[in-house]
Amino acid sequence: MKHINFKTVCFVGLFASMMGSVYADTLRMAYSVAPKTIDPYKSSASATASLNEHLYEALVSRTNEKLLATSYGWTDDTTLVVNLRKGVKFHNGADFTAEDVIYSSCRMMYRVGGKKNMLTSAMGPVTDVVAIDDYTVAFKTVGLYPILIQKLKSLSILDSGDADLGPTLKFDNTGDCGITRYPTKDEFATGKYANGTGKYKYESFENTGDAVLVRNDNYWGEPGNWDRVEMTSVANSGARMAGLLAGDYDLIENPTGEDLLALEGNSAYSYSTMPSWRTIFLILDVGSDVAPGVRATDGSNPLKDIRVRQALSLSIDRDAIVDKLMGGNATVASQFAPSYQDGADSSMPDMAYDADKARQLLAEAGYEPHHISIDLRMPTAKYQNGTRVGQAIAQYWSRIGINVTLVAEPWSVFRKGRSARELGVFMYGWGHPQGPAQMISYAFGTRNKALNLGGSNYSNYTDPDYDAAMAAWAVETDEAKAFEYNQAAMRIAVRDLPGIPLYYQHSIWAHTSDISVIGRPDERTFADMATKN
Amino acid sequence: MIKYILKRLWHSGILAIVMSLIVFFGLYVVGDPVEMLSDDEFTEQDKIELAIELGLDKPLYEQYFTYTGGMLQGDFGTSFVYNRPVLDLIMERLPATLEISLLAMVIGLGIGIPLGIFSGIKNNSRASKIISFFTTVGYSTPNFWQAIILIMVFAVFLQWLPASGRGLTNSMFGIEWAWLSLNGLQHMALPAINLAIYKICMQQRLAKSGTQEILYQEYMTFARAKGITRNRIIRRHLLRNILIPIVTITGLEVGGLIAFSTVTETIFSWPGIGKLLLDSIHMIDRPVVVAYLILITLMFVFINFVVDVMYAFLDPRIRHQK
Amino acid sequence: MIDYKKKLAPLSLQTKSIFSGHPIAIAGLIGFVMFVLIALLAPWIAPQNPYDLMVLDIMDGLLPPLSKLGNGTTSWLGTDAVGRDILSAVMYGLRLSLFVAFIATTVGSLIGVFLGLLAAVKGGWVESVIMRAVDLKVSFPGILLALMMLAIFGTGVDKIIYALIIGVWASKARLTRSSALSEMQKEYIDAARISAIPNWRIMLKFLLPNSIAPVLVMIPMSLSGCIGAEATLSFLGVGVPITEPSLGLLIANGNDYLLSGKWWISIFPGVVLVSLVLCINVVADRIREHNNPFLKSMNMQ
Repeated sequence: MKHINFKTVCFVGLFASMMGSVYADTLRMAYSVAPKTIDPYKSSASATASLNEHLYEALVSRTNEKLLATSYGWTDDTTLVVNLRKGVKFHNGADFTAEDVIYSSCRMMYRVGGKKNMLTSAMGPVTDVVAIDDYTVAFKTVGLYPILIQKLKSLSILDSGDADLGPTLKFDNTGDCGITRYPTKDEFATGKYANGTGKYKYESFENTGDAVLVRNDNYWGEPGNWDRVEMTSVANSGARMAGLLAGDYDLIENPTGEDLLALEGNSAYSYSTMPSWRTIFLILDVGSDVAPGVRATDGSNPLKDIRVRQALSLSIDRDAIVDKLMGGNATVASQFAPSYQDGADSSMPDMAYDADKARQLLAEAGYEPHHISIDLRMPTAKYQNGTRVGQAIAQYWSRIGINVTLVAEPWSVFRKGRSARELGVFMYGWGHPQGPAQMISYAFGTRNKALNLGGSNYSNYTDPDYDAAMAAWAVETDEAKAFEYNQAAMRIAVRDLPGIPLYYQHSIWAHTSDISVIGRPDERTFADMATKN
Repeated sequence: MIKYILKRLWHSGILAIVMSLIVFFGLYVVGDPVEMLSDDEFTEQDKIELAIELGLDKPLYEQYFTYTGGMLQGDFGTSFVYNRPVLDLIMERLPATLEISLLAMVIGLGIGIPLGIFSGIKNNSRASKIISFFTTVGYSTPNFWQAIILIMVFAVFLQWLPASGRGLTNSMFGIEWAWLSLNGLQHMALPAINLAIYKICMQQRLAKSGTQEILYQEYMTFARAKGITRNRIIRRHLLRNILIPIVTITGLEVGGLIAFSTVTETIFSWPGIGKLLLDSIHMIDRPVVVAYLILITLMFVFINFVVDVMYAFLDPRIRHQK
Repeated sequence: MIDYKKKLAPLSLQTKSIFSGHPIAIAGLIGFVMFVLIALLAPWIAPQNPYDLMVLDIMDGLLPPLSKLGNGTTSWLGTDAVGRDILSAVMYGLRLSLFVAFIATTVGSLIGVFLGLLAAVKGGWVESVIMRAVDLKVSFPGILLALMMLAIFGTGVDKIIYALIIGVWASKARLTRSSALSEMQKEYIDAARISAIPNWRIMLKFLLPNSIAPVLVMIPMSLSGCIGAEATLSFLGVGVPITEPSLGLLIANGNDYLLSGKWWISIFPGVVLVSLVLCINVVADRIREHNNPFLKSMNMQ
């Protein structure tokens, strides 16, 4: 039954009957970040996507389960054919067909209220979307684009009946598509068109991020676990945990590791963890002649020397960080993406710790103690325990004789500095649902606009073998081969250390003991992760 | 009087313009809204398009005039982050801030003034000294520290009151309020008390020194000599006279309360405008921050004006002046 | 004509007349002096330099009070997550908090007094501009202004000092101007002006000594205000850098651990912060009471 705080009720017993109506199976969740909108394409932010995932479904889930698609495959280099699930109904009762996929592709590109959606990258190289029959749809691409099916995970399917389609529906990149009327922004905000095929139906959404959802009883698969889901968001982790302990919520996301200690020995509460896809790593400017914020007595960029980079990596005791700072809720990294993600080479050894060898390598490279000064830059309030980890790394580096200044800045200031390439050494976190290749393809590839490689190469790293492997990966439609190319590139990156992998974050959910939770690796919180005991 | 009002308006106009300039250009220095809104996977082209869409491709002065021009016509712009009209965002959250601020005010006045008058009249009693000591401790304790202690005691150890969020809201005049339901009131309790503690202490001190000052004025001595009863003295002479400074300060402090609610709302996750401001500063949601500060400025002007009128009303010397 | 120095009685005498017979105020003063001494001597008496990452070790993290550190020393008040000794951190934090507040109060008051005198002596548009700026500042809540400032200029010890100075100067300027104006009504100023003594000499020699008393009375209040404001801003994460925690930032760090029963990280800095502000406020109250002629006459009755 519902978990109302008993003492609270006693304290104010007289008016207890005025308490909010309590539903039979209601799940009250507290997010750490507020969802911003119920428009599925408007924002790429994780919290917004978490909320929207309750309402809408894509062809394939983030964990590669087939949702509205039953099968798919490339019929030639530029055609992806998807077979659609039959008998699926939208929340308003309309049937799901190929037309809805075309409409949704158009809606993704359409500028609602004149504004481009944030989530359009799926449609980038797509030239056409055509219905072969009511339950088969083909995506045509401009060139080889093997990761399209991954990208399509962000194409939430909406009901084409909510718009006036006009005489012919023909996909184009502006979203015009011959459609005579789309629901406007304000109409969409009323929730009337929050009409998907998901396990939960829209009931209300406030701009504070509070939402109420109810179960979709006509769901095509296993129906949702809860009659009703109430979501709110509480940014402060202490307040979120206090809310759980005070009986305001049944499930909260991202409690701090410290707070979990408070739950131990309290049988009314429990927590679940799940290794996530987010890797925390450092980026080193290895290419510039003078790296910003990195000084050596001889005026060079010491990070160009592989021995210095190895020393920096070897000096860090990742096990201690994971145990002492993360409370065990992290995994020591072996590479720049989780070794447990599909497509990763799980046999790579953990990054080693050997402070003596680090000092020796520095000496071999010709740097005496205190000859190198590094500004370690990082964002505040961004990653679990981030600033504490930053301080620990500064401790380790200073022990091998490097002068470290830790500069922790608000995310906004940090991002601006990063885009201006003013950060020579910085901490970052990247979590990717589209496989381990994604992150390194952006972060370490030589800039290649055609294949979309190296867009975030702040290391200024370039290596021909690496680039060859990444270029082969980018056009490989055979999954097994793509994985091999990716693993080859990853091994080169770990050999050359254009950055330093630290650890993989785990996601944590704390909850009352009357529910069980099985988490997800993509850092999203979904009501059906929880089941009533 | 009219000249005075006009002068006031002129000054506040300048205040609003200076504020908007500082904030607008200041936030430009801090960060790039495009960077904040874009993913790691955005291509350069995506970023350029996003900038065009937000109007950020134009020169900064042009952005400023476009924005302030719209504002003069009542359009406070569209939030970069929420993609909704800023005025809507602020207006939807204002009730939440108002209700805890006003509740705090009521608690502050209701407890602070009687305590102050009491300790003013019985200046040398032990009770008065104890009260005064506690109010000194109260206003020496930073707001956020009080909040931490309140949460630890009432939400975590005793589990009497919720520590975060606004709870259930009900509609009245088309606005959602928390104070209309018990659950909402419970959620209001801790943030309102947090804001009220400082108020209680300030009011107690004001009322105490006001009482003392009046007690020793000649007309009071005279009234006592005439044999007027003690209660009547307090009612007739004391209350009315100490109200003047209290009304002045209270009026000014309503603004202070709303400003200070930034801290309280952040700690208690109360979805008011203070929390909106902090979030928007972090996200460089420039339209929201500029609009918030200009609206706050206008509110202060209004409050100061009301205070002046109240003051005139309470002080017969001003009221009877023509 | 030569009565212009009457208000500056010897400091020791003043102190005596302010505090004698007021045990709470004396306790406050002693407490404050003690805190200042600890802050000044922190580098010599603190067991550890909590700002030097080299001496910290995360293996010493989160130890309760009276634990032994890895290097064999005892941590009397426990450690924080990255192995900072709380006793040392509180001493250094006290030092930082007091330093920031002292500088901000002093510089802010100096600027305020200077601008107030300037407004009084110059008159005209100079006065107009200065007083409008004062109105601007006074009509806006200080904490909001500081928040904006720090959001715009970024965080850091220097930045927070600027933000606090902006909060301090205005009321001082207003006060100085009004007492300087009333002083200027007096004959000796006219006499000085007639004898062609330059403005700056009049300001320094006559107006400054005679109009500074009310500002001095306000200094302790400003000091405690600045300490509170700095703590609040640092608590909100827009104040001092994480590697050099002040009392407010220590509390914020410890706040993450309160629910898990690691109370020492937050509670010790919190208690010190409240005691410090309380000591100053008790002294400030007494000084104000002493300087309020009305209350003084009442006490004599």
